[in-house]
Amino acid sequence: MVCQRRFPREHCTIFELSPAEEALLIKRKARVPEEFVYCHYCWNIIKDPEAGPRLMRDTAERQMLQLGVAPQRAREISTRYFDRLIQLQRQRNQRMH
Amino acid sequence: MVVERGLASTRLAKATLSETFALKVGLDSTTCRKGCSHCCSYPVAISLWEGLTLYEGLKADGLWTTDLRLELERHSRLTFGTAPEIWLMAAIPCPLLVSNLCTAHEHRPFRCRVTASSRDPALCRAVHFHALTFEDNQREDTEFREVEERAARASRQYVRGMSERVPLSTAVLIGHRVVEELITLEEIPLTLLRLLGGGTR
Repeated sequence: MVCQRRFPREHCTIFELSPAEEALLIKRKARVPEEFVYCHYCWNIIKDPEAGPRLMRDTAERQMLQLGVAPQRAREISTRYFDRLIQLQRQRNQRMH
Repeated sequence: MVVERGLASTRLAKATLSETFALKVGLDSTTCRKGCSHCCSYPVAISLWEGLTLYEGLKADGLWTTDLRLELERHSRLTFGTAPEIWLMAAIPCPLLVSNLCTAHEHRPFRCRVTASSRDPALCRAVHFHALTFEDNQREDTEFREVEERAARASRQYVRGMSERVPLSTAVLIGHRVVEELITLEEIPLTLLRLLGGGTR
């Protein structure tokens, strides 16, 4: 559970990594979770076209700050990450229409 | 009549305690400036009584429009039941914020009135969030809640669930339904339960 709260599993959205994604994490020596579980409320935020990318941008910036990255640099990187997410979202929407 | 008395109690509690807080902190000592709106994306939960007063204020000022209602509904869908940490990091702006200004500043909830920065306002961005950035207003918040509940009980219109804290948008939407008599006070807990029914929305 991403938000660490107790929530009935039947109301959760659950993702498993594809073999390619799993291989990428192993290559980067990152921990490979069995599944990603989002509660109904967190999933509402993640799937929102505005709030979702903002959550990912700010979480990335905060983690960088905690790891000691200079504030200006952390902001630049997270903004680029945010722009990329928005761009991917637009491309996906265009493909769907 | 019940609603009018409840509204009067909340207005009185808000006015009195806001003034006390302003005197204690000293408005000149805060670094908050017009146009700075980092804290307008923080999780703000208010009582249903406050939601009612806020709705009344918006209506009286001619600010209650279909667009605003739709924006409040969108905000409520995103924030009701959401963990405060997730809400904070998703930087969901208050639906009453337009061009970095509060459109309901005069009617803003107590929680907003007692949120003030005493350091560099740039540190108020959620990514820097740290309790030390803010004046400790937890005590004022608890005091407000107690006064609000006491006032409501004293005037014999204490309605179960009305002091429940919900997102600002949810409280205003419920306020709208109560004031316009779309639901009764007794139906509020059921309405909230429906909203909280996770996964069924």
